[in-house]
Amino acid sequence: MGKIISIANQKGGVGKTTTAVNLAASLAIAERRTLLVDLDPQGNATSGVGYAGDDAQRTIYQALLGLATPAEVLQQTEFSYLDIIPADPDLIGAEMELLHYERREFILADRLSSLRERYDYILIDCSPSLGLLTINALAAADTILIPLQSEYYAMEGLGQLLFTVRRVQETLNPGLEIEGILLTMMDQRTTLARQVEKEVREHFGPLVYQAVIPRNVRLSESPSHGKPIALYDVSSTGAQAYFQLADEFMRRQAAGGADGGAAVAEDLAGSQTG
Amino acid sequence: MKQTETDSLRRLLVDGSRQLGIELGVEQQEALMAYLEALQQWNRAYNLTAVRDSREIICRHFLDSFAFFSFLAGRSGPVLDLGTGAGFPGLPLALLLPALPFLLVDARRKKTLFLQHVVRLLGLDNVEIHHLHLRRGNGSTKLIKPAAALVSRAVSVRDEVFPVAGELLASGGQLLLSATASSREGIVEDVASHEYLQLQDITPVVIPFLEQERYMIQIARV
Repeated sequence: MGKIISIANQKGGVGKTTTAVNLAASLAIAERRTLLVDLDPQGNATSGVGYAGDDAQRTIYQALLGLATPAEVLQQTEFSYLDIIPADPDLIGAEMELLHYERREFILADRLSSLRERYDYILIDCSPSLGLLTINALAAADTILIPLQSEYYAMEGLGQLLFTVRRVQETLNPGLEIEGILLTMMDQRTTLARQVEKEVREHFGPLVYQAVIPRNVRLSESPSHGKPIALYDVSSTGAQAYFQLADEFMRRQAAGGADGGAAVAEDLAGSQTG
Repeated sequence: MKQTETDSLRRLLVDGSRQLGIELGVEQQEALMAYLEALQQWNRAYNLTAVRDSREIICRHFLDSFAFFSFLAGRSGPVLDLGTGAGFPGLPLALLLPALPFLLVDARRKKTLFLQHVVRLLGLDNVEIHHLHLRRGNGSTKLIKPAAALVSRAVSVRDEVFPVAGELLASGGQLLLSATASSREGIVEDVASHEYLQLQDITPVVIPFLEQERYMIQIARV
């Protein structure tokens, strides 16, 4: 059964989509059957893997509203081990339309359940909000992976996210765990970035990946070419960082995950919001 | 890697090469060691070769690839390595023969991406990497320039290489296959069943530090 990982942080511009696209691609390169679900109406993960859309406009929106089956909205990518369920701006409407559905928090979980057998990993790229779509992603997921920008305000809003995780654990999805915390956009030349890294590691311990994603020009260029960084520039520091992340991610799976993710989340949510 | 370990691996590489009549320059040694390090790094997550030990990688991959060297020296290219995997034998040979163009082909993305990385890392400008599954009749063989020589040590030579060899080799080109004692006979039988192939020579080769017997089989495209 495939593991479902939501990549979430309600803060925008922290590297969610970059991480979703490039972790998914790196896992696919390692020949793990991987599905990337774009759950952001901006559709950046969709274009980031080079999917340009088709006339039928098969997207996650159709699957959520029951207009198409999950299998019908699956699309192949340039990687033989990577499929994508694309998103387009229609998805903005879903947030409102799904309000009238029964079990509205579980719609994505229900839709993805039929696909789990086909994949080793299902990665969900969330939108920068804690709205109904992100709640659906957390209700469907086994774990949440949190990208954190290595800047002064990195931890801002994290308390709220972890509080939400705890609420989801209490009500919708008791099994939800924290997969890991990933430092992104790291400029190792600055003292500030190193300070933020130190602080985050002290706070979250083994939940924080050793792999750190650097600020990298090639990484920011690759989406405009519709390519994951591995295809755009395999030797760039950005590509190397995502390979290292995938390596660490897979080794954590083999070792049974980062220990006590859920407990840490509970602690932190308590201390930061209470 | 510790310095003493690096030194001892480098000695193994230099000594083994010398036994094959190859004097490695310092830059070539550095490049091969960088290749080894990248291979070990990628192998952890991407499983590029079942051989995990560095000494074994040197013997069973690097030196084993060098066995082709004397058969290629002085030729014109391009040399096509079909089913190159983690780059063997093509990439170490391209490093030894910088004037000879090499085309490395593999059907698995993880392998071609790794090779692109190594080619960049080593600054090789005589190597092209192609992510392709070459099959007869699907048009894929048209994507590759006709080769002057086709090298392979893939076990699946008989099923994968022979059917496309005619389309991939320029007229007068040569197939160079390294075989074990047990695979040699089957290869010779297969050559006889393809009318465009003609067996030229079988040369026993000794790979330093390996007990196994090896044969270099030369086949002409007629």
